[in-house]
Amino acid sequence: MKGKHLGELEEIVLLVVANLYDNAYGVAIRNDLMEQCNRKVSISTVHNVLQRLQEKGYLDSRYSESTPERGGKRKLLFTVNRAGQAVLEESRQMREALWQGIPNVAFKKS
Amino acid sequence: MNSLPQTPGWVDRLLSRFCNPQLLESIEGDLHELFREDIEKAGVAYARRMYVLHALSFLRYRSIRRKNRSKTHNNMNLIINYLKISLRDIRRNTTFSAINIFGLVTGFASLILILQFVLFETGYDRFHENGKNIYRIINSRYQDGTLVQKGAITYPMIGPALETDYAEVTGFTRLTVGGRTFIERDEELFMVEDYLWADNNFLRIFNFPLLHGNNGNALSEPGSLVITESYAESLIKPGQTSADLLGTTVKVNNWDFPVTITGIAADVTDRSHLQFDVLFSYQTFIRLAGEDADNSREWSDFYHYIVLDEKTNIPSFQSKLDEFGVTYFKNGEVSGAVEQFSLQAMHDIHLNPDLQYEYAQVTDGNFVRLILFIGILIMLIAWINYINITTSRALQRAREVGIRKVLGAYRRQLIGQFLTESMLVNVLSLILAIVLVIIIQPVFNRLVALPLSLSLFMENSMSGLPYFALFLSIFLAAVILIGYYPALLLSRFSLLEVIKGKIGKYGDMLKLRKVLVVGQFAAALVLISGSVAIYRQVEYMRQQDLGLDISNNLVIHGPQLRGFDSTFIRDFSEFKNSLSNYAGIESVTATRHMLGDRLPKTFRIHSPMDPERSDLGCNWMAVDHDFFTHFEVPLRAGRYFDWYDHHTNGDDVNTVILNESALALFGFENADQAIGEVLEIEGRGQPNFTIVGVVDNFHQQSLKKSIDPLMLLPFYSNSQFFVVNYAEGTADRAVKLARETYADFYPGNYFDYYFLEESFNEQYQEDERIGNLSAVFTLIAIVLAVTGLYGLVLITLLKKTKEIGVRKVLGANVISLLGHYGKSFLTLIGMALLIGLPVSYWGILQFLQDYPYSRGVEAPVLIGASAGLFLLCVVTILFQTKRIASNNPVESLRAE
Repeated sequence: MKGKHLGELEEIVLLVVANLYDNAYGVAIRNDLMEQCNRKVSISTVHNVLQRLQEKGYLDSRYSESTPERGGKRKLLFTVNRAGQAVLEESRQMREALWQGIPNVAFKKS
Repeated sequence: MNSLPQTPGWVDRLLSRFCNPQLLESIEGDLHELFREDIEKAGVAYARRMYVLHALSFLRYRSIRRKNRSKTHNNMNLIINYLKISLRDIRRNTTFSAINIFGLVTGFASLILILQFVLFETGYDRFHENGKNIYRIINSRYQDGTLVQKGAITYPMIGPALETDYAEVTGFTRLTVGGRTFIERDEELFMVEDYLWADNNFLRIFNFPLLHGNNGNALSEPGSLVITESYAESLIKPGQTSADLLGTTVKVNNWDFPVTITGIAADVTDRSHLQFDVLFSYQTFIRLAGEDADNSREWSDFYHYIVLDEKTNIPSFQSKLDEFGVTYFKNGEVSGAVEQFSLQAMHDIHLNPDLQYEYAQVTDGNFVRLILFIGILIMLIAWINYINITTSRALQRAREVGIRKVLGAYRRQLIGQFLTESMLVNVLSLILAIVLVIIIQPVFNRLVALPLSLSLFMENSMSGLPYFALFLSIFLAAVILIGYYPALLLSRFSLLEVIKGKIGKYGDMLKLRKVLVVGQFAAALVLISGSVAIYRQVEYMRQQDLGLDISNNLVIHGPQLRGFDSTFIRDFSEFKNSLSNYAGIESVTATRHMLGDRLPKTFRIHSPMDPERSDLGCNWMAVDHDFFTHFEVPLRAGRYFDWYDHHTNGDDVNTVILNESALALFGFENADQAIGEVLEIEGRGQPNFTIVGVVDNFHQQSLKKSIDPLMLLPFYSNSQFFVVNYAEGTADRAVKLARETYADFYPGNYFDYYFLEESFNEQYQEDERIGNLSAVFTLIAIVLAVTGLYGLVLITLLKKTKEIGVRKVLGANVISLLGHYGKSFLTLIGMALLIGLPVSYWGILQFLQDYPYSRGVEAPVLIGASAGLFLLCVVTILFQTKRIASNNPVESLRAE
């Protein structure tokens, strides 16, 4: 585990999980990533990122009731926990601070 | 819901095997959901494909795979642990590990060397692209229903006739073998040792690539010549390259036409049954020898190879060949014998030494098989040692096994442990063996006189795999097999049994182990008596009286560059006189056919005793008149030749001397009856030859050949050998004198000599080589068997240290202990000898069948070999027993 640093994809997934609130599981997250962020990611990658986020301690998980369309298997539902929330805030503040710091002239011409 | 298509089951199994079980359910659920979506999107097939892709992509991620800390074991850790334990065990038991590893290294090294030899000998002629479709024509001749000759030579018309008559024959080449000759380039002479007269197809059918020149037509014209690269090196002048020789004209012998070099061929590889430095075109031969060389049905000095279409059915083509023989040779009317033709696959030529008039490089395939057999025996002995010693140590390992089981080891894991051990020991030994082979390769190569190397294993086997892959897989299978038995045995103990002391029965001599020891020593006995028998046979052949005295003889090649004319015989006689005038030169004679060389045979002889037949076949030899006195061949009846029997014109020769064997052939009852009778030998200018003498049989060739009927004829030619007999110990002086006199009489001719006895004994080279090989490997086999025995005895006695101590305290002395413990081993060795003796007897009998002259199976050899082996075992056992039995019982009782 390379510390608690949040990768770009990890950050997006974390946000999507937060967006989906009570229905954040593999396929739903993947769909959201595709529709909202226009990112095509394989299901295994989604799972991998989720596992990593959980290992870093930003996500909690629980099993849902079993649903027939999943061949009787339960969903593993994720929610962003306090630590996750904190890291997202932190990242957002850092970005905002950086945005603030851009001198007006820098972006004028482009 | 039930109508939902099935997901591929193997993918699910794979996932459940490799994924972290805690995550499995959610993964499977997601996959199912996607599967359903995909079906709706693009159908079942697409969905299945995607399912596989999705599922497999999970295996990439470490976070999803099974975790180390989960209940199941990580294989890597376990294997490392296995290795660690194995290494510890090897180190702790130095003696047994050394015996094991020494045995296996020796076994592997021997087997590798033997396999090199076998691969070398069996891999001849594989470089010809079309090799498996090339066949040589074999010619068998029958008279009165008995086979009189089965040779590699046949008539020159066979090849062209076969190609015209049968569609299956897609090509042929014919050739004949030349003796020694000389090439003259700008007044410098170069000797040619091996040459062939080969037709234009030769370079097209066989893969002997030309470096310069055209394979398609290099040998098409009369007077064309192809030489090998290294021969070209000797011919070029400083600053030239071999390419410059192309188109060069040379003079050959005293031919009246120039010869042009039309090709430079790459050197012929060692593993080719055809060897040559120089090829003359067959057209040249026809030009020199006449049309007979193209179409004769009586002159058979020609070798034929045909190429058969791949789809040819060989048995049915053979029956066509039978008809062919009848059609062209009319059951004996044409050539004096019933001619039968058969096929020999080119790849079989090298390992079949039995054909007459063979010129190819051949080895006895039986010897190759024998050596391979010895190699396998050695390996078996080595592995038997391994199994015996490993299982014997069961007692020592039993406690370890018991503890492991208590600590929760499964039996499967214990088997894994022991398998790893045997794998480690074997692989380690194999690596050491390869290193050993690299070190002793030069010595071994000198012993077998072959350029062997490990690279032979890179060649492809019949199955298309390289040999090393083949052997490596056999090796692995064998290692698992031999590792499995001890593993099963050792892992069987339960702690309860160990504590109760019930394992004693495993530690003792198991039935299987007894059988293995008996087998080992029976094999050792067969090997010992076999190698002694080979050695004795070679010695016998070399020491046997040949019927003539070949010692202290110098052979000089006759003056080939001097034309044969009316003065030749007189000149030689003067040469003879002036050379034998020197003190120390005993006598000088000449012969066309040297002792040890193969003799020509003629088939159209008529004897007065058998008026019906004119087709008797007999070998003949052209000799100088004092050949018999020179070599001290005793006379039976009549007289020796005298100078007046010689005639410059061969057609005037009309006398013959027979050997004893020929008497029976021609129907004479005794030697005196034959004197004065006349033999008709057709095909000569003048067919009538008066028998003037009969001499004792002598061995013209080695004792591997029986003495055939022989006619000695007083013919002369310039390709004669001169033979100089000198006083013992004056060889150098004799060479010097002969060289000077030769130069006086035959200026410009090449003086080239050898010693007769040496060259005659070269006929036994092959037998000696095999004798040496089998002796070396027998020695190794014995050492291995005895080492194994040593180890077994040691283990058995170590287990009984306490018992021995108790016995000693109670009053047993060393001698009685020796008897007590040695008995069971010696019984086994005794049984081994009982089995080994008849097998050895039978084996030696088979071996000697190939030799017409032998001492038969010698009882002393068998008895000596058995006694020697037995003694060796007794010493081994004594040595061990004594060491332990003479320990102070106080110490042995205190042990542990």
